[in-house]
Amino acid sequence: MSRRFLRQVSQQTPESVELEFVLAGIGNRTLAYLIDYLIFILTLVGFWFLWLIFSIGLTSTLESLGINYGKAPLWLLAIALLLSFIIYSGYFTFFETTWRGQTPGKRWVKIRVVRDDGRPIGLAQATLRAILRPVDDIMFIGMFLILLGKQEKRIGDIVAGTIVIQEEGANRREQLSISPAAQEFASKLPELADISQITADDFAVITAYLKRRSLMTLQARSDLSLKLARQLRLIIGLTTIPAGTTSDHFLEAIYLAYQKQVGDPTRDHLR
Amino acid sequence: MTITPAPGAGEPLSIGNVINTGFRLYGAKFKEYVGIAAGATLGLFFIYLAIALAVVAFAVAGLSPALLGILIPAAVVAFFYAMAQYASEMGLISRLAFGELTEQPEAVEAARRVTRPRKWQFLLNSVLVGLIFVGVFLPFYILLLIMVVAVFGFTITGGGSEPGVGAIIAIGLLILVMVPILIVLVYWLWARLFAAEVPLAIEPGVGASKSIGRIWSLTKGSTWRIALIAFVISCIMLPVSIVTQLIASFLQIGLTVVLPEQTSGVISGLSTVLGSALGLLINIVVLPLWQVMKSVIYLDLRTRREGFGLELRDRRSEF
Repeated sequence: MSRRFLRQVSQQTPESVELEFVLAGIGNRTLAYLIDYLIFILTLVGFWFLWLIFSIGLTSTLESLGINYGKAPLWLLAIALLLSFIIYSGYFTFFETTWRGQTPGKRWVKIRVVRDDGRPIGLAQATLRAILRPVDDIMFIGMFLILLGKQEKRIGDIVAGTIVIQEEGANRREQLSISPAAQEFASKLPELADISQITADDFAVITAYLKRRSLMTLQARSDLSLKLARQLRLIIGLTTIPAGTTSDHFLEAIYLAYQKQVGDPTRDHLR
Repeated sequence: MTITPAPGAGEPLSIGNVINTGFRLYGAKFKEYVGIAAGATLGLFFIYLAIALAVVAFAVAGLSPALLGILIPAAVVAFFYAMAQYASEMGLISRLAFGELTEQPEAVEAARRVTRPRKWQFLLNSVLVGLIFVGVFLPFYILLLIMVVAVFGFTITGGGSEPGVGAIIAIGLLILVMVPILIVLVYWLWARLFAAEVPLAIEPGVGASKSIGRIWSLTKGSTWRIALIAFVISCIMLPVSIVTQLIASFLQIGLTVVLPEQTSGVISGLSTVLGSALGLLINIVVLPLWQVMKSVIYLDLRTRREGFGLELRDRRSEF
């Protein structure tokens, strides 16, 4: 699907280089937020459980020593509350600083906090964002600001001078499964047809099909495979096809032959 | 010489980007979609109102029973007609959204000329979905009911005796296990059928039941993705409903302050009217968002499951 409905911003780096970012958007940010809060709440439950055990142990020790511990429970509660708040802001500050603008939730949904000019954030920005997080949570101010603002900044982002962007999909190079029949066919293909007629555009479509075919419905897959194969056969002017070649084999063979002849053009498309 | 492909054309979207796309499209076409939803909701509301008024008029004026023979069938027809009309207008929003997403936008009237004649199919579609839910969950409910009755039966008759207590605990535990399973099952089935009317709104030659079949096969393997998408959208919409709830309760408090001398009947009557008006308004604003989301999910499913958008460039246009 087209990504044109995703909001983009362009920023100038200190070196006056224009950079384009795709903003994280309300969907990714809410999902990351939910994941982070889940982890945070589990951590907090674990902490209070341990603290309770510690408190019971401490008071019984004090009692066995015959010390008056009347004020201890209040102090223990106060310290626990303080530590909870430190865990709360510390969680986000720690991860956003050490993971260059990411938390576990943000890493999972592939978004990142950066400064307005695209540089990675430091301790100062992470701390400001974490301290202002409770303010943004009051009456969901932060969520409304992200929904309605052009740069999707909550108060923490405005003060810290940060934006949340999507990570560029580092095109992971997956190994495509290619059948032996197709490999054999591919070696003959350059003699039989004009591979150079295939554009980088076509190659991208073939690659996408081969990558994703295993998840498609059988009917759609065979229809699409046949359609692409027919079109490509006309494009490269192939007259004879070896007996028993399926359309999938043909597409795999073109993929291999093109890669061998031209190299992988998707590399150059990655800006 | 090579032309860069349109960025990400024919590419599946992540969960977050499905939601982003839906919200952005909804925002861009807010007036159009909310306008359609307002027309559809008010139309439904007025037909119901007319039926209710007819019933009241009949009761008050005491018209002849012969008239009843005409009035009841007329009311039934009007009721179903309104439902069908409403369902087709919801489908219209999904159709328009799909056109925008695939860069083949349609004018509202042109799209309506396709969806309106299918209104009875839309009604049938939603009835069928309802029947599927009833068919799946009725046996569960009956089983649950029998178990609850059994527990009460044991407590009343065999209270205290050894086997009675054991049976109660066993059945009680079974109920405790069954209820979460039932909830998960409801959510699972809902995720698979939630966009059941979208193929009917978009694809040519697809009827009420084929539309359900289409969505069933497309959502295979994506159920929990869809469920998570719907959950995150609900979380985003939560503040909206909380804020409107707050406004409603402020209004109620305001009414009690402004009208201290009046009887409480007037206040409760007024707040009921205000509450329903607010509910209607929220419906009008929120429903199009879900219709848009259904289309985004549907397109994403077709991209994943059918390679939608994977097309070679037409070479003839380059010469």
